[in-house]
Amino acid sequence: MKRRLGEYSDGDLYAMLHGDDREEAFRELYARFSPNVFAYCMRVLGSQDRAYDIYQETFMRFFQSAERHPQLDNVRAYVLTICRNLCLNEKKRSAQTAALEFDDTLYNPGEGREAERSEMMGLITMAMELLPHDMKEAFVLREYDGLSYNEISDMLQIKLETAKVRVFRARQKIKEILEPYLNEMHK
Amino acid sequence: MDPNHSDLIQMLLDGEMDSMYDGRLFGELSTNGDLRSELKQQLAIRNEVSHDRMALIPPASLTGAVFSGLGFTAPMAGAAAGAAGGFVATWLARIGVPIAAAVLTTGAMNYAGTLDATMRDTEGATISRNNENATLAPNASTRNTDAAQEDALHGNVRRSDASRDADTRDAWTRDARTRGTDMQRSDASRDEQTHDARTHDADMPRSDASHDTESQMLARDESMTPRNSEPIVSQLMVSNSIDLQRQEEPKTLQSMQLQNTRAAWDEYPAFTLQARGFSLKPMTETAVDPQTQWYQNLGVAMIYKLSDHHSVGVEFGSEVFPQVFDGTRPNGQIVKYEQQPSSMWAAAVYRYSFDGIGETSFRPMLQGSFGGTKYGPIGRAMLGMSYSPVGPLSFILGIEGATMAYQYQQNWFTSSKIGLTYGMAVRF
Repeated sequence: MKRRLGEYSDGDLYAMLHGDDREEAFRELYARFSPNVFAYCMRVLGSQDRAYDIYQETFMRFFQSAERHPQLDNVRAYVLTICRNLCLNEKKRSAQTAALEFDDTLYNPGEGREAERSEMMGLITMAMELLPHDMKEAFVLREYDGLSYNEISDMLQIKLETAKVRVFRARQKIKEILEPYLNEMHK
Repeated sequence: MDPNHSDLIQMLLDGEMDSMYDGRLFGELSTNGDLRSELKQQLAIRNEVSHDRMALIPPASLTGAVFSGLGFTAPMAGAAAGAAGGFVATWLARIGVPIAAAVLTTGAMNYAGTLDATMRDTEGATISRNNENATLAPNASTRNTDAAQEDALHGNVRRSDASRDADTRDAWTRDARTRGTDMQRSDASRDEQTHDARTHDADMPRSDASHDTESQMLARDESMTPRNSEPIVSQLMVSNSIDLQRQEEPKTLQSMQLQNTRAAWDEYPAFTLQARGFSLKPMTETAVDPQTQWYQNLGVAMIYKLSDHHSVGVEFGSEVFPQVFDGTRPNGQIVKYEQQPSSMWAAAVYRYSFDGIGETSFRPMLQGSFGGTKYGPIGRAMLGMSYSPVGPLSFILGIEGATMAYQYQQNWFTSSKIGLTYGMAVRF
């Protein structure tokens, strides 16, 4: 009896990208990883337009890469690595044309949230924008994409302890930026 | 290296707290207010990030772009939204469920109507067959009677004229027109025989002819058959009169047929199940996007008909009401809040239905309802029209206004909306 696609592992589905069922396999992989990639693009790049472009490009390249790599162990880390490299390129490009971009999505994240929560999220997003890129990246991979420290260290090609330190410092920095606001909230 | 307080909090957040540090951390938390505050802040940030992560879902248009870029068929929502930039998807989300409900109910009603029509057809067919039998029966009986009478009357003719007998038999076994033609031929033959008989009479002795009546002559002389042929014409006339009666019979049967077609929903139309959608414009402006749910802006009601004009019921629905309100923080700072949460509501409904417009199936109606949401009470009023095209099915279109009240920091605020409502209902 044919198994449902949801029962296949990421690696099995990736291998299926070569076969006749590639569309169904890609659909399932897309369903699994699209939230991770989208969150990474949105929060690391901080611009909706650029994030959308990179997001789309990531999945195009991911699908095309299946021809070159028949097997993969950690598909999620692989697709996030593609996304990361594209984001780094994009940041380099945008650094050359430094422009201040106002993005509504930074101040109106999510939908239907309570007003206070939106306000706080806006502050967190702004605080993240103030973080150095390596810290922000580690923080997003840990908090948004749910990667373990080992996965982060593998993906970023850094030591495990360095990954932990980056996430730790990012948290501390965000807390410091938000401290006045948080203190008011908890008074 | 011995971890400090912040390290311990990080370990706790990451779920990597070593059991040897558990007691130390919780001991510190019980005495150190700053540490408690730091943990609280970190948890608040983490909680907020978690909510943000849940809300970060790629829009359908972007998904559609990815799939179309690879030459694949986009997933349902993505395709619809990608094709129309999200506009179609938004409206599909609003009216999709009412349409789906309408299609399903129409299908069910169509099926019920088909059954009803089939039953009517069956009855009609039976009645038609009965009519046909009833129609044919007189003919048959007439034909049989006529044939018998013809045989009786023409017994002598047959004996005297074999060819005429054959013509007569053929005439009664064909249709009326053929029969008429044959009868003309028979009449012609009969005339000839009458002439022969008269000639024969003329040949009889004059003494007998002057004393005997014509009937006596018939009794005495079997060969005087031409006079016996006269009743054939009268029998045909009787046959025609039976045909006229036959035309009246179906009218009686048709009136009975109308009595049999009353459906169950005409007899017991007390309950109505209604599904409707709302397309209401908020009267409160806000820049915050509304919370979206697939069942948003929908209402389902069960209404009981008390009389021809009055109905009561309950209605459940889900709707977004923009909320813009002020609040004061403990330090005295005034904060303006804006949100558009989706909320379920339930309400008691009263409906007054006016008389139908003329002979049409349109009935104006007024409806008011009062209930509650998780934020506060809600009231609705609707002026609309119902249209019942067939059977128990009806459609609703109306203008509706709704107001929800909510409370924040002991102050009451309201949010109102006005617009159109549309839907369908099934009586049962």
